[in-house]
Amino acid sequence: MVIDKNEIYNSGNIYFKNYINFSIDEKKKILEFRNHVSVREMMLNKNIIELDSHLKFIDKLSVDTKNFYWGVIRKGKLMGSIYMNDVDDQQEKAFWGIFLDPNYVGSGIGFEIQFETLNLVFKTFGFNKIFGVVFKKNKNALSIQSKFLFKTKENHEKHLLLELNTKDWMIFSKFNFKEFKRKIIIK
Amino acid sequence: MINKVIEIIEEILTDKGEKLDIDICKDSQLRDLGLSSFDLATLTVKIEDKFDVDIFEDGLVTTVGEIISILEENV
Repeated sequence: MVIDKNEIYNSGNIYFKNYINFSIDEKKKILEFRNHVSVREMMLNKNIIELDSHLKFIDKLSVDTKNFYWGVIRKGKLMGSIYMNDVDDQQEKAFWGIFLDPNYVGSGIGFEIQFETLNLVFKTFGFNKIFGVVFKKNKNALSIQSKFLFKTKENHEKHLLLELNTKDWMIFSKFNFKEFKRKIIIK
Repeated sequence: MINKVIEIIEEILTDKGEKLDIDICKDSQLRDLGLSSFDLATLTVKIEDKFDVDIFEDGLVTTVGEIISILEENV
């Protein structure tokens, strides 16, 4: 399993550009999304992140082999971010997360980004299993993740730990996003 | 055309068990109607079935009016 930080990965309409290759404007833009109250309230760390800390964090990512952050680009526009933490090369597993430009929450883009991200994770990178933490109050995210066949691994007071393995995802892997939508919607 | 689009949106909301206590018009924001990302995916599939147009093909839509504009340009 090899993740090249300098490669711009692509799946469907979505391109994934590692933070370490961001321009300063892109670094500021992604921080703006991350610091928006609607994004922060769904994060484990709900604090506002200062620009200086953000830039130092990105600098450290260039030598980090366990944590990867990408900007998500659709039709040339930065739409949000996905990330993989605690990447375990041996067992081919990791934690993943996503946040969007707050202006596009509820636009349907999150559904497409998650589909293409899962293709990247399982088909391109070859992960065996991924985990995600979702707050129980985030009904939208829970509903979407169930469509992707995530299963609850741990049930905590305020959040769930969800798990998806490559075997379950491969049920969908032969479809593009348009076919996938049809597959799960028009049953 | 707008009536059909509104009918599809109402059908999705009804299937979710949502109360239809707001009037849907061209200016209605899709997120304000209580549609989730999955609901919007459902909307695109149902509209494509009816009009043979993928409303998300070239960009994103945020209002009912934007859906109508795309359909008027392509149908």
